[in-house]
Formats: sequence, structure tokens, C-alpha cells
Amino acid sequence: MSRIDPVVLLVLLVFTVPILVQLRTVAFYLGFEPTVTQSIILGLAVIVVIVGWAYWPARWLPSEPEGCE
Amino acid sequence: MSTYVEQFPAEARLVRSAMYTAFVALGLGAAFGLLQVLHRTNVLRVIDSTDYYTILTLHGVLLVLTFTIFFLVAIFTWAITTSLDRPLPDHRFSWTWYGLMTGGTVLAAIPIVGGLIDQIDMSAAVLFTFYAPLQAHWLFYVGLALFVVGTWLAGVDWIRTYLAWRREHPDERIPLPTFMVLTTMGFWYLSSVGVALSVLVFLLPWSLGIFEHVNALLTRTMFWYFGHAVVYFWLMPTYLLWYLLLPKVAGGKLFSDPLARIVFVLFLLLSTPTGIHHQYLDPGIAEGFKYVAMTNTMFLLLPSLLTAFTVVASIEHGARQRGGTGRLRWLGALPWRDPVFTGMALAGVMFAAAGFSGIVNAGLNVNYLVHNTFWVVGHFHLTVGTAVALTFMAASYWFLPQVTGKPLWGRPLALGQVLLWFLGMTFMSNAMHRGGLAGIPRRTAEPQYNFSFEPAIGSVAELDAQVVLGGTLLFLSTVLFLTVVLGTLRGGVDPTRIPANTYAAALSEAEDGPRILDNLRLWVLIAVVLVILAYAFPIAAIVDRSGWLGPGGSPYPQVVWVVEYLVVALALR
Ligand code: HEM
Ligand SMILES: [Cu+2]
Repeated sequence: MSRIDPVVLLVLLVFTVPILVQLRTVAFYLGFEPTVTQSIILGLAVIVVIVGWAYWPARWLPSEPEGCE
Repeated sequence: MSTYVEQFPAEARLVRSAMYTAFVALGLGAAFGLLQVLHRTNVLRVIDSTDYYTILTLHGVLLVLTFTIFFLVAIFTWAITTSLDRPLPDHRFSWTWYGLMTGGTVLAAIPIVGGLIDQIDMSAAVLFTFYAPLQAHWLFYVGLALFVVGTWLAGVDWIRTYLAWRREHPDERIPLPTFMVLTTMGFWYLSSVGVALSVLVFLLPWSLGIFEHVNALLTRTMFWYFGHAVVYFWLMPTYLLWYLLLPKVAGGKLFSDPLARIVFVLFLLLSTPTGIHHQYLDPGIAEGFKYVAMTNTMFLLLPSLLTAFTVVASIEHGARQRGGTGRLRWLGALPWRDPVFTGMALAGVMFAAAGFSGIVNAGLNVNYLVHNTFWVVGHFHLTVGTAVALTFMAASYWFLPQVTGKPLWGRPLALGQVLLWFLGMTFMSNAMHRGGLAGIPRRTAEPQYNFSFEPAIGSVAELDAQVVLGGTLLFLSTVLFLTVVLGTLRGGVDPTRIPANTYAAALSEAEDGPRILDNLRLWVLIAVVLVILAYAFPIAAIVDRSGWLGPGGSPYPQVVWVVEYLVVALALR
């Protein structure tokens, strides 16, 4: 089972997209200049991390109270 | 406790009809949006570049005049009848205004579409801003006038319902939804008079050949006198839904009724005397007047921030009622599975982003950087194109069952639809903003001409790709929306599976606020005074300089002469 409701996860993922898109602009101002391909790979990596976090067996981590139903 | 269609069957029919009209406009408008995206980026060109303005006029008119306003008259009719708990007084009158609005739309659409058909000698490629020097066939102006009169009569209908209620309840506070409708109509009358005068006194006679020319700056100023207020005409029903429906579907209550009233009064006061902020680059208006408009505009931040606070506080209250805890953990307790909630919440998030680009637009000096660039298109697709449009679509998932008695069909599809819109707009709007900063103009089929833009970040090709990706997702989202609507309409009637027709109660009630908030006469009076202060001198100055009908001549050859003089001067050197 996942750590959070799959629909909440989906919304969370959709939410990260504008943040990733904006972070690319920030990266340019900080002197990193990721190409489009690099940005897409980086974005996918972040998404994989979030999905991994959501589905990682909870018992491997310090137990936390569940936030949702 | 029952659904709206059971309580008010006749009104439900009217609300339904208005919503269906809005949905047709939305579907068509979105298709033209996709055409524009593909054309501008040179990915796929199905129309001639010379027809681009006709398509863009259809896109603008169908979406920001037809879709939004038909949807909001539906919402307002619902708000008035539900909150006063009484039907509209005279159904023949109600169908008259609906008929005027529909007829006006059709009449205005004929010459626009005529522009695409060679056999028809009509055109109205004047964009949804329709000021001179662009000229439309007279039928367009007649249609526009009928449409606006239709909305005026709709307002009369709601005010009559309110007055009848008032006679029976002389001492009660105005119910909040009715208060919202009345304050909104207050500035709608005030502002749309400007555009009606411009159309009837100048543009229509000019299109009929009665006047040889008109004062272009005057018609621009009269349009923008209305053009900013119309933005709030779209936003106030959106706020109404955020204040009354969003807390309810989140499982909570509105944080404060008096605060909501203050917000609506502030919008009544400040919506109209700000229009000149769209004319920061117009020669012929002194900087001082522009400065006044900018100051008023910055004051509008106040009710916007109050709204952000109230809405988030109400949602948090809802989440905690549902058992949410922690500083941010409560966010997980919200009903994210509900497309009504998720759609409106995402629309709110995008509106916050739009607030930031809006501050850039509003600054008199910073505006020079972005004026008439793609940035502005990026900005208003976040405001009207998402905050308003996405809220309306999400709210439809609640309203459709209310007004038809049919449960919503395809709820997961509906959820996917609102998420898809958010994604599409993320890509499209971001690229438009960035393109604008690089100087890419709006309102052109050929943005590149013989010029290569250099974005600070990335390349034009990359921005184009992002716009195409976003535009395509948005179009798909619209198709999904219409699919859910049709799926719902094909279903059977079953009121037992539909929530009752109610709206959110308030934690802090109307009685907690001063009575003067309900003194609508006073607020309208102050609004009129502010408008006179903001507009009397600029209009007097414009008319004083070049007369009611302008100096004549066409702006275009004058530019060419300047170039010719330069060429001659260079040749003689
Ligand atoms: C399917 C989704 C949409 C797409 C792909 C889209 C695309 C576009 C594009 C590319 C332009 C700029 C054209 C140019 O300046 O050359 C534009 C303009 C515009 N759009 Fe959209 N749009 C969409 C939805 C909406 C919605 C939902 C609204 C409002 C409710 C809206 C309102 C407008 C307005 C008012 C303009 C300006 C028209 C003008 O400059 O006269 N659009 N749209
Ligand atoms: Cu404005």
C-alpha cells in the first residue's frame, strides 16, 4: 500500500510540474544551463523519487502518523 | 433538502440553457485556440495568415464574452433564487434577456464568420476589444449592443427579485450570495455604460458611414473604461464560487461573511477607475492620469489578498473538520478525489501565480517591458483562462447535477480533466511569459517576421514546443470536459444520488459586521464619484485635443511617410 492516497499522489505530481518548470529558470540564473533533455530527465527523476517515497514500504522508515483517510 | 431543479424547475431550465450556450462557446473557442497555437509556431497552418485576426476575434469573443458571461448569468440566477429562496418574478421577462443575449451573440458572430467566407461581403476581424481604428460590419456592433442590453435586463431581473424579498424581510441582512450579485451588477452597469455609448454613439454610426472617422483614442479609452471592469465581471462569480461552493465541498464553512462583503464592496469601488492601466503606452493620455490608474490598481491588491486569505482559511477549516491535523498535513485530508474541489483549488493556485505577473503589468514603468507582448497572453490565460475558466468547468460538475437532476457521469474523467488543464496551462503560460520577455509580440500570425528573438533562457524553438504541448493538452482537456457534460446529460434522472442545493455557511456571520456594509446605495455613489475623478479629466483632455470625432486621417500612412522621409533624407545625404 502506498504512504498516501494514490489520488493525492497524482495531484502532488501534477503540482510538482510547475515547480520543476520554474526551477529550470532559476537554474539558469544560478549559472547552470540544463538543456531541454537534461531538464526532462531531471524532472522525471524527481517524479520517480516522489513516487518511490509514496510506495516505499512504510516499515522501512520511522513510523509517522498517516495524514489522510 | 433537495436539488435545485426540484426547488426551482423553471429557473433550472434557464440556468441549464445559459450553461449549454456557454459550453458550446467554450468548445469552439478552444478549437480556435489550438489553431492559433499551431499557426503562430508554424507547426500546422490550416488558415491563411490574413484570416488570423478573424480566428483570434472568434477565440476572444467566444471565450471571454460568450462563455464567461453566459456561465455567470447562470450562476447569478442560481445565487439569487437559492439565497433568497424565491423564484424569479416573471419568466417571460427572464427568457427575454436570455433571448437578447443569445440573439446578440448570433448577430455578432455572423459578420465575424463572414470574414472567412469569400461569398459573404462582411467582416469583423476587430478582436474582442473592438476599438477603432479597426472597423467591423455594423451587424457586429448591433449584436454586441443587444448582448449587453440582455445582461442589463438580467440584472433588472435579479434586482426585482431582491426588492420583492426586501419588502417581506425589511430588517434582515442581505444574504451573502445576493449581496455578491448586487455589488457585481453595480459596477457592471457603471462600466458597461461606457462601452455601450462607444458602440452606439461612435462605432455603429461610423460603420454605417454616417461618420467618416472617429476619435480612435476616445474609443480605446471608452473600451478600457469597461475593459478592466469586465475582468472583474468574470472574476466576481469565480470568487462567489470560491467563497460559497469551495468551502462547502471541502467540508467546512466560509471563514468570514463580513470580510467577504468588504471584498466585494472594494471591487465595486475600484473595478472601474483603473481602466487606464491598459493604456500606459497610449500617447495622448498624460502620465499623471496613468499614475492615478496605477495607484487605484495597486489598491486592488488588497481585496485580492483578503480573498486568498479567506479562501485558504475556509479550506483549512474544512480539512480540519475532516480530521486533518498538523501544520501542512491537513492538506492531505482535503477531498482531492472530487473534481469540483480539485479543479477550483488548482484554479486558485494558478490565480496566485497570475497575481505576480499582474503586478508586473500594473507597474507604469515595468509595463513598458511587457506591453503587447506574449507575456500578457500568458498572464491572462492564468486569470480568465484558468482562474475563471477552470473554476467554471469544475463548478459545472456540481451544477450540472443540480440543474438536471442527473448524477455526474465519469467522475475520474472529470478529475483527469482538471489536472490536464493545470498541466497544459503550466507549459503554455510559462512559455508565453518567457517569450514576452524576449519581445515576442502578441496578436500576430507571423511573430517572427524577419527577426530572431533571443530569450534570456533557452531558445525560441523550445518556447514554441512548450506552447504547442500546452495548447494541445488544454484542447484535450476541453474535449474531456465536454465529454463528461454529454455523458452526464445522457444519464437518467436520479435526485437521490445528488447532494442538496446548499452553499457554505459562515463561521463569522453577517451580523458580526457593521450594517453599513449592506448600504449598496452609498457604495454605488462612492464608485460613481471615483469614476468621475479618474475619468473626467482624461476624457476632457482627449476631446479637447482632437474633438469627439478625432482629427481624421488614417494612422497607417503617417507611419509610412515617416519612413519615406527617412529614406529620402538618407538618399540625399
Ligand atoms: C484550449 C485552450 C486555449 C488555447 C490553446 C489558447 C491559445 C491562445 C493563443 C495562442 C492566444 C494568442 C494569440 C495571439 O496573440 O496571436 C490566445 C489569445 C487569447 N485567449 Fe486563449 N487559449 C485557450 C483558452 C482560452 C480561454 C479558456 C480563454 C478565456 C476564457 C482565452 C482567452 C483568450 C483571449 C481573451 C485572448 C486574446 C485575444 C486577443 O488578443 O484579442 N483563451 N489564446
Ligand atoms: Cu485591467
